[in-house]
Amino acid sequence: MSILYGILKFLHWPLWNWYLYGYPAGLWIMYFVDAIIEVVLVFAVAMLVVVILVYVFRKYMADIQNRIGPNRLGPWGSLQLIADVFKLIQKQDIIPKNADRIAFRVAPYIIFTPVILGMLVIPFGNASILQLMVVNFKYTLLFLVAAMVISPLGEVIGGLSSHNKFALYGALRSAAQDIGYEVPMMISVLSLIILAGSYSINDIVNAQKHIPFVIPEILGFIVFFLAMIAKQSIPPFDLPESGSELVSGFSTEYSGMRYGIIYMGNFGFMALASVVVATLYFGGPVGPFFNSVLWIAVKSAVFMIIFLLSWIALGRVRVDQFLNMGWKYLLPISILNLLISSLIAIYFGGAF
Amino acid sequence: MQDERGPGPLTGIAGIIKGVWYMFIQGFKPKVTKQVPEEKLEYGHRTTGRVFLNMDACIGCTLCEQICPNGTIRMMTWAYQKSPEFEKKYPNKRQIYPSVDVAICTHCNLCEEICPTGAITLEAEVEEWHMRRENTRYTPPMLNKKENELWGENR
Repeated sequence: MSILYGILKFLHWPLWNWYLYGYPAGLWIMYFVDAIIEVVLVFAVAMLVVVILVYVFRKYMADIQNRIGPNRLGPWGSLQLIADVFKLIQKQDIIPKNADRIAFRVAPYIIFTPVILGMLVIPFGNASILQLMVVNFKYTLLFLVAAMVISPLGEVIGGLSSHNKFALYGALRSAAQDIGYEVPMMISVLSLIILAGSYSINDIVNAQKHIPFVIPEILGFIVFFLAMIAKQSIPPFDLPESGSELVSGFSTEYSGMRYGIIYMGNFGFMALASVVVATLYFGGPVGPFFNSVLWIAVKSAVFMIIFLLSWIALGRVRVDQFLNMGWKYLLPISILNLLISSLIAIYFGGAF
Repeated sequence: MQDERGPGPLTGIAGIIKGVWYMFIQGFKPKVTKQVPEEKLEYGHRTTGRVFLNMDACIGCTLCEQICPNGTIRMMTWAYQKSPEFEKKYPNKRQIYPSVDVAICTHCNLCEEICPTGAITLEAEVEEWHMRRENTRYTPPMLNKKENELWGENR
């Protein structure tokens, strides 16, 4: 809520002087309007990133597979996604006869929710005196983690409610996968909190002024990165969707724009995950020579490319292999990382 | 006892990184495939394409029908009034002219070689598909025209 607030403060607009029964009513009105405008702004930015990401993904995948890719609409086919969205809107919205209708309808939005919620608390750097961060409070990291946990819930709900055995299997796999990677992910986040001494993402970014956290916490970074890949359910960890085993996993029964929302939610979560990794482990807007929003864009773009590459290049692991990896390797590694970071915090705590 | 375990996890991680790196490079290599052009390509001048018929020079000798290996050419009665000088030089009293089914023509060039008056030529003009099946059999006056004159520029 700081962007517009800062602009108004900069322009000396006395909006907060409307006193109503002793309370500044203008302040509350302005907070309200601010909240709406900035959430819409973040939503627009997220959608823009999703559009670019989908285009790059399709074109790059086509390059790798020796195809042409989208080439009809707009310059080099860049408007193909918009045409696809219109096609999906026109399509019939089929809901299975015995499906749980309310849950079936709500699930795609639950999958899409963390994209907006997570983007709200990311510090995108400073533009002169403005801080490009919508919400800032003491426990933003907890809020971020809680928001990111929502999206697998949508997968489970969608799979269970659509009355289809493939979707059911997809939902069960999604649930199993979630508990597989989320505990190690939380523990590696915990070690970040120990190092930075704060729950606020802003403080975590400020703590990486000299050394990014990837250097003391390389193990935690590996765990967190794998967990992020697993959370997007892209290959090699696309167990909930697994195209060749279950038909399309939890999204088997979805069609039309509901499937489009799931698809955009996946890509939006890819954008969110890359931004989160860039923020927590690579310092986000804090860079070597200058601090700018440019740094977080470059860093997250690199991670988006890596996610896309892992989608394109790698095969799928089995369920038991994934659970083995989660419980037998990632969890001990993350606990080891927690010990290491505790030692660093005790002996070299001043470095951060 | 020999240890029969497979390759360890480090080998696997190295393999994964190698594979991802190869894929990454593959995206920047020049493509093997090419975009199919939107426009029709020009045929080379030596292409043995569709049968063209000069009706004025045809004498209705049916040699082309006899030499044709798969019945592409069939003679067809067609009322056509030649100009007097051609009527005198190349008389066609039975009023029969070759008709060609372009769908089964193999472009073997035999009819052009056998034709005594040079009425039949094979020129670089090919149409591979038609909207209606009846359209593939070309009547004698159609054989004198180019494809664009027959069917229009953009069908």
